[in-house]
Amino acid sequence: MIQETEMKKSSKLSRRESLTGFLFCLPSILGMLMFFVIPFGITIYLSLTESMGNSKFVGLKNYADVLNSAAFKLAAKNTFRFNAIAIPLIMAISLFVSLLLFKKLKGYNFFRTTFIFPLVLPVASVVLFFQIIFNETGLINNILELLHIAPVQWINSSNSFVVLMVLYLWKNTGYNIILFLSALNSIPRAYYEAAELDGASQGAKLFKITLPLIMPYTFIIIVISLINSFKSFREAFILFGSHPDQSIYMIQHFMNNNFQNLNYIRLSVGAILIFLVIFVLVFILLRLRNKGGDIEL
Amino acid sequence: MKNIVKNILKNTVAFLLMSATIFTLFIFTSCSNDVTENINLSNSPDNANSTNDDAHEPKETEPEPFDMQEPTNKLTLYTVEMTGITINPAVNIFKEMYPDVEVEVKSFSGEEYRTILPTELASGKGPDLVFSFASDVADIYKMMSTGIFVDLNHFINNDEEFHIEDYVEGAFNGGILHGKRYIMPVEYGISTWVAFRDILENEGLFEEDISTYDKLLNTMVKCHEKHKDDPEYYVMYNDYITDAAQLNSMWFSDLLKVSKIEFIDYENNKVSIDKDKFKTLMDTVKALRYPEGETISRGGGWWDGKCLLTSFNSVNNLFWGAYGSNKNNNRIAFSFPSYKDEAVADIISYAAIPSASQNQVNAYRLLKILLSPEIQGGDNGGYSYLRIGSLVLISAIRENKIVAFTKEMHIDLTDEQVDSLMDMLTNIKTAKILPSAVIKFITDEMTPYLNGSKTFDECYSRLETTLELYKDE
Repeated sequence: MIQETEMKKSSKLSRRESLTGFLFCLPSILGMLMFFVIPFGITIYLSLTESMGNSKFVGLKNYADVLNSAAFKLAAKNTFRFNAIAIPLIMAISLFVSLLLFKKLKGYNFFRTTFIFPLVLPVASVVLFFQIIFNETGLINNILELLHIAPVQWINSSNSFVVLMVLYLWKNTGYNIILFLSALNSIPRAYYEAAELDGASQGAKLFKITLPLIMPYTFIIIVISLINSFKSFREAFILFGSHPDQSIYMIQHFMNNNFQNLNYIRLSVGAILIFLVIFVLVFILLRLRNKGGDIEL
Repeated sequence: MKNIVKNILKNTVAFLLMSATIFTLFIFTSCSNDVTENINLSNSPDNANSTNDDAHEPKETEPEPFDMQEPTNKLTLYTVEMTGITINPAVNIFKEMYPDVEVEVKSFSGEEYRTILPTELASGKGPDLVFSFASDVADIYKMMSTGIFVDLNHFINNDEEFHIEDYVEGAFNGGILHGKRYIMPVEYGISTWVAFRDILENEGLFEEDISTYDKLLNTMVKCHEKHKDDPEYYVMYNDYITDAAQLNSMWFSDLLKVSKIEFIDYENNKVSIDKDKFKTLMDTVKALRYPEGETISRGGGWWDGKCLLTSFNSVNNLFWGAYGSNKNNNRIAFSFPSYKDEAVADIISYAAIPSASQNQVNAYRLLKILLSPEIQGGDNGGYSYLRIGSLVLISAIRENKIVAFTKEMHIDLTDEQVDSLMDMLTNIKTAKILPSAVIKFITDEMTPYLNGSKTFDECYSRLETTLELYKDE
């Protein structure tokens, strides 16, 4: 009887706690509903209707239209190509630099600050800086001229891809370095000391201790790099405009231009397709991480 | 119960994953080699000299079923500043006719309008009627194709009082896209010019030499080359612009507009440029350019008989320019021939009813007032714009303007002269808008050719690629 009363009390308390918890969560739930779930629902609805002024259900017709559109195909191809090159490159560079810095080389603090610097610069200044460097009469072409090499058109040509890649790497490597450094610092020193006692080489320490132990962080850094690569549109848009060279016409250009044209149906279709692609990529990455690591973040 | 929920969740995740994978595969398999081919399709030799001959002119189609709204007691109009001379009298008439309707007129600056209108239209909370100038949105045809405006044929076809034949048909039908009348042109413009017979003769030229697009451009280039060193000689205009960059920019944009070259065939959603005609135009613009940074000393002009062509875009000025002191029948008034040598007008202002409007009946009522003889025949404040109402336009110009104006200027016009000018102003094939977004692409991509830093083919290829992308978005 006493046990039963205790259980009832506990259940009542638990219910009250649940209610309190729910009330505390309510603003977030409402926010989530208002800013994510409902707009996402509207986006799905719009993507299945004929036009802004006509809510006739057209099934997957809009999806077929967008997927058959040369502009979307080009944008998807370029986005895929940019990510396929930029992400491995930024991962390799940032890991390499982090490993160098991890050695506590001379000037460690100076370099660490230098790498963070691009993160705090306003986009407009970054773009201005890149214009000065890559302009037709910019710094690089002036150097080329001094070396008696024909100037290169960096902006508004297929070389824009290189410029955008450099810009992305320059702006985001520092952030990845910080993340990698924190991952490297989380590895207990004892592992390296034990390895040294066993006579392990530098390579063995890298491949047997460092890389496996930072693997869970690496997946997160890949996801962050992926998100940042999508964000590089901001710089691309300011530097090259709404319709840049074909080589850097990204999915965000497609979306932004459709927004400008008020073509919200196409915009909705594009958004859902992008969501699905990112969803799959992140899911695969997380599955790989879960399979590969016993180490908790 | 828990297991059931778990299973449902598991299945949902599996379903989401499966659809995501299918979509991903779909996207990336469709992004194979055909991408560049698609984008560069128009660069193929077969397409290089493509013309617009196959591009059909806008035609109306049978309207789809439409639920006519009930009349309401509210009307919100969005417009830009400077339209007051047309819109204010129309709103006053509306208020007199429908005193129970609350009318709100919001007038914006061009910049505000470009920001506010698209956002509000998209949110469905915008105006009931928009009245804009052609350049107030970046690309009206793109907006029209989103279905954001209602097909006005639904109203016109149910209105026995409305007679399309009362209007300048070519200009009136300029608002049709894909068979739907999304916008209603209210004012239109014709590029009207005057040339001087004696000056032409001095150059060894005749009226025939300015009668077609190719001949006219050729004549302009020849005259410019011949008189390049004479600061008092004008190929076009009769103004006193002395800044070379400003003059170059003006010639570029004006010739681009008057040529009426079509860049995107919105009706068939394809890039459709007559490359030869466009090259002729660009070569003309290039030949007419002055070295930038120079200050050009101007003087003389047509007062001294040193002006090949001069534009008179306002009706009054045109009559004066053509016949004002035309003692020896020396002046030739003509509309600048389009690249197809057809009479094509510009849509200057238009009205449209958003699909999301809850007060469409009132919007149509005001639209009808804008097209009524009171407004169409009324004072346009000396602007160059022609009202679209054919009959009222002709009587207004003839009776109100010409009579008053000719009396004031002591010009004795014959009926033949008036008829000839009337014919020029009203006998047009169609009316179009060259979207400001497209003008920007042309300016950006063709400037290197005009500066001499790239070949025409290089610039043209880039322009075509950009337009391909743009029309496909």
